[in-house]
Amino acid sequence: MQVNWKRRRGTAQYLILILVVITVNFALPRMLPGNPLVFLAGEDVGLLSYAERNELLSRYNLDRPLPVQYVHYLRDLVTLQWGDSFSKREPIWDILWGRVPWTLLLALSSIVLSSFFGAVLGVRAAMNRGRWSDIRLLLIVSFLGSFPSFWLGMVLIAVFAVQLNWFPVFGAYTVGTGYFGLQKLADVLQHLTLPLLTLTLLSIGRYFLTMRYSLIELMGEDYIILAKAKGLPERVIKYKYVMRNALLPFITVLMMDLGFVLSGATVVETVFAYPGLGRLMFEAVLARDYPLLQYSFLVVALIVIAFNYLADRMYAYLDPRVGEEG
Amino acid sequence: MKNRAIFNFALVVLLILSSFIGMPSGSMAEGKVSELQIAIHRDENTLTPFTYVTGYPGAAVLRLVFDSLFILDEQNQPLPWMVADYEVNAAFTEYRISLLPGQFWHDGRPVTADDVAFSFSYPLTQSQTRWRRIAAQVESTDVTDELNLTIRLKTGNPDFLSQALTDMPIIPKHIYENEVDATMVGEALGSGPYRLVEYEEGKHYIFEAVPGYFRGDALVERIVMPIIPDITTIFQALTAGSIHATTAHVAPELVSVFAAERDIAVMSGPGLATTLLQINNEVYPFTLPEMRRAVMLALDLQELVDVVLLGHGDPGSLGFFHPAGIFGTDAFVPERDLTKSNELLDGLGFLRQGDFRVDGNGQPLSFELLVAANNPLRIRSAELIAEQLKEVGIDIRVVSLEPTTLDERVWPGFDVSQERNYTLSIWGWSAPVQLRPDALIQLAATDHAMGSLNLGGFASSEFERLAERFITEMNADARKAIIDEMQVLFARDIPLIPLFYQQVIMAYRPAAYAGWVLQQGEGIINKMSFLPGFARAGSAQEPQSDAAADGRDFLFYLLLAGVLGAVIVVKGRKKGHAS
Amino acid sequence: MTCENKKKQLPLALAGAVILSIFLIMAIFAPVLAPYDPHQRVGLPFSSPSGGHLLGTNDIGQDIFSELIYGSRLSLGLAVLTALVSTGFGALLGLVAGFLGKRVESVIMRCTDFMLVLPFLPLAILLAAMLGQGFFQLVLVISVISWAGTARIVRAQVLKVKAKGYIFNLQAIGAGPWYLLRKHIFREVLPLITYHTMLSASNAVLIEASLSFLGLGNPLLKSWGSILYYAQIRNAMLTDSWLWWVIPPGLSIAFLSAGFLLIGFYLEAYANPRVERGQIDA
Repeated sequence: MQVNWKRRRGTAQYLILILVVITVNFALPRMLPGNPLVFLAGEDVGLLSYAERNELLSRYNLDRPLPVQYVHYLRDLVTLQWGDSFSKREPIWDILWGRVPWTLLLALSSIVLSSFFGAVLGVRAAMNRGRWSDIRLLLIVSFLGSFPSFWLGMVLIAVFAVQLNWFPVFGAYTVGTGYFGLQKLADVLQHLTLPLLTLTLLSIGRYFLTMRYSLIELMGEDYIILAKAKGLPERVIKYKYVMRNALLPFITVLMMDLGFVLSGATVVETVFAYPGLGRLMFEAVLARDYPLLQYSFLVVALIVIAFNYLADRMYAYLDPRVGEEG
Repeated sequence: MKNRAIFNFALVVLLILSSFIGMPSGSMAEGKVSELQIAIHRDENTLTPFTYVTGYPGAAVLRLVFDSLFILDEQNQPLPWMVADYEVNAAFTEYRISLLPGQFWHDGRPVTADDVAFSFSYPLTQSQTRWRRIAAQVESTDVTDELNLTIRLKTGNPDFLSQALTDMPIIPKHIYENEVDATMVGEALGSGPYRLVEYEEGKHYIFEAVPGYFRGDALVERIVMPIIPDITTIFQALTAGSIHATTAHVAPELVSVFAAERDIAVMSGPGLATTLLQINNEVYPFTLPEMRRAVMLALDLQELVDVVLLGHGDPGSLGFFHPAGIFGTDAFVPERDLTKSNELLDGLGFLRQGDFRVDGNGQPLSFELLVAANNPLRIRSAELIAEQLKEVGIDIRVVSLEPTTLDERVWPGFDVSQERNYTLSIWGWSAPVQLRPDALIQLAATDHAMGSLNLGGFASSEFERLAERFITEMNADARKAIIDEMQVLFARDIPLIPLFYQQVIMAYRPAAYAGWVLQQGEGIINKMSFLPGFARAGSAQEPQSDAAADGRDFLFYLLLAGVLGAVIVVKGRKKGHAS
Repeated sequence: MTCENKKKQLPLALAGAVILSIFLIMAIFAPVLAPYDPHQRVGLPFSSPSGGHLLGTNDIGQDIFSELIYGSRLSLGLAVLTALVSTGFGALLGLVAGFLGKRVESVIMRCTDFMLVLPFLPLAILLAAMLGQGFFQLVLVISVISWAGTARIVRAQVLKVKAKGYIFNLQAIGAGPWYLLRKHIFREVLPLITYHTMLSASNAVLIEASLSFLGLGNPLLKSWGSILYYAQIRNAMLTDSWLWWVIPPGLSIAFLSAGFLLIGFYLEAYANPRVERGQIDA
């Protein structure tokens, strides 16, 4: 009974969160100074007469009071009539569908790679805590993760794409080729390599540190010490007790990283001209493209919330002591 | 154990990648070029006249797909294009036009006078201001037959040919006629030399030459335009050889780099985009012409050109128009004169107190200079201006703002009648403004409709009279004379201070294609670059052997050997440990 | 064993301390160390390194070496201040949430959820547009973006500490909540907080650089991020100048950021001796 009630409360709270996100996604873009007129009226926006300007604003409901616009927005949201982007002049659905796969490809593969290597290295470091191999790893990983992303990207392009010509300079695939099947896959992988490497190098550190820190801490916990005292085999202690519990904070970082990679990869996407959501949102902000902003934020936020929700459930599964994790 | 797994994994990844290194780029056919990769530096949507975004590169690339009755040639002079013959009446109210036969839409239907007439009326129902402004001048259109029509204007306009007929894209009536909102038409269907066959939002465009185009088949069969928003990345791609040309203008610092590069050629010409010091004429003490003049005299425009543009530009003319352009003269390029500037400031009673001067109300002459945070050339110009004005005791604090925020301060709502919130700003107008005979009226007339670009709130009854005379004058020479008078007035009253015109510099790989035609102030991406009879001769050169590829392979195998070696060493060590 | 460990950890901390103190000295004595005023144009634009200009000059002829030295002031100051503000705020909320629980916790945790899903870019632009793009505004922007992570982690730690037996015992013998929070819980969470302060400092340096890169920072402030912004946008990567214009500020950022991390590791090990006990012999 108790558990059920708690779970239901959790779900309600997630719904409230989603509502708040929906509202803020409406309000935030409209609080930015400026307006999307230049994209609605074309480049010679200054030539608009007063009447034309008003006509234009009313055509897009931009002259209505904000509460009315908000109601329209909620209606469109629910009915999935997301409409057209102001700046891109295309249905928002189409735009997002063109971007989301690339973003997911880049983000997920970076998360998989960096969490895998981060975890492996983190475990190694923790097991050798205080030894030179631990310190060496600490130094290397923290130094690698300390470069600004665009800097790393720039250097990688200059070395591997321009000087050595091993990888393409830009884009997610070679444009205008008839590649399909394996060839296409190889092409995509080749384009993915440098941005992926940049993102991965930068996030390995977070996973590594989290894994290392929580392992070390866990090893100090009473029950582990007890297990050791009882003479349980090393391997059993390591994997049955320690790893299982070290996964909790690790998953937290994983979830937080997801939000970061989805919306924060803007810089890497810009440097590599990678057609992801981050760059899209950045351009939408500059263009004050309210509808595109609303919905692209929403999609990102929903993905992050969904994964957080999953993480919560996973917590409950992994560690029954934690009933409800924020 | 784990070590080995990691290395093996890396090895597999490398092996997979290795088989695909050395992808082919555009291959060349004899005579004609089969494919060019031209990077475009921003996404211009579906590239129809109602969906493109910017004048450059948007409208420039749009013109590969859509034709207009006339085009602008290398020197921006109108050239009949779709037109076989035309006639203008003495009052400049009637433009009689005969179309060249043999023009077709990309769906195979013939282009008719009906389409042309439709193109000049339909934009009135749309919100796209550039075309709407032109359509608004048209009183009526008379279609005589398939190929002949007359366009009647509400009032006579001698510039209608050079300003409107060269500009208005001719659109297919059968596509747009029943469309209330033209932006809903996603397909860019025109009658130009290229057909847009593919567009992927944020990724690329692909164009194909239209066979049997009435001005001759285009010399490049396929143009692939990847969208690359970061300019540095574009030029890295050009250096690496993965693109052959770009819409992006070359930054001054790269000119010498590319000049030294054997495979890259550079073309340059005067630029028509104007960078200027926008002054809010409504804010004291800039309400005083003497103050504005003192600021102007304290500026060293040549230094700006030398330092910020590394000499690849021309100092601004107070008459706004580029001296090498159609309307400009070099009579108004100012010389720095600190003595005179100081005298003027002293004369206003703005005396020095320590380093800086103090105005009539005892306030220090200290002003904010707003500049867009994303434009380094303008930021640097602002920093230099602050330095230069310090010498006459004016304190300038440079403030950088996110571009749209800056727009909102200087040009709130893109409506000059709304209240401005700035004193000084580094601003710019794009190249087409330099080509408008009425540019000065837009920049300085007090009437909000006429002076739609009057961001400084400049007001002068003398200028108003000139503007009125200009509008009613139909004689070309007399109009030119009035423009000259206006420039004299600009140079005297200084509503704004043009700082410089940055040169247009384009880079391309001549081995891939060399037919480029540089249109003054615009660049090399235009119809003329691709059409026989316009493109420069000797366009397709022998493709060079790809020597870089061998080196690439060699380096790869070197790396492979390195990784293999590392694996062996690590394995060996492990074994050593175990035993 | 423990002693041994600390000794081995010490070089790390020393390395961190050396890095930070080098930058600190650079920042404090910038006017003495820098050969030129970084705002003054003292050479031809785009000059290569020479005796007069160790790292050449930038795009308008300012001395890059002097820019780099003065840049340490801004980057270091920004890192420290942002770390204090964001970790302070985050830790406070985390402590309160974890300790008080119930409604308060719920509200605070939902706020952090919200911050973590909120797209930070528009938020940064919005704040920059509303507040202006000065130094303190930048501190505020980065703090607002980054406090939520700290709050979450601190709160989780507080929950763990609260679950420990001795806290129950203390409560049972009538220890007040304020006393518990101050004397025991705070003390137990402190190492984590200091560690996170260092992480935040390291992060702040990177975020500032990225904001500059996107044109959302203040290109007029002489930070390492803004040096890189100009280097990137004036195509240093395509000329030889990347060697002296791109590499030094990039490395400076990396070293400063890593310096904070290294100290963080040591503080974590030093202030958390319980961890030492559980050393597993592998």
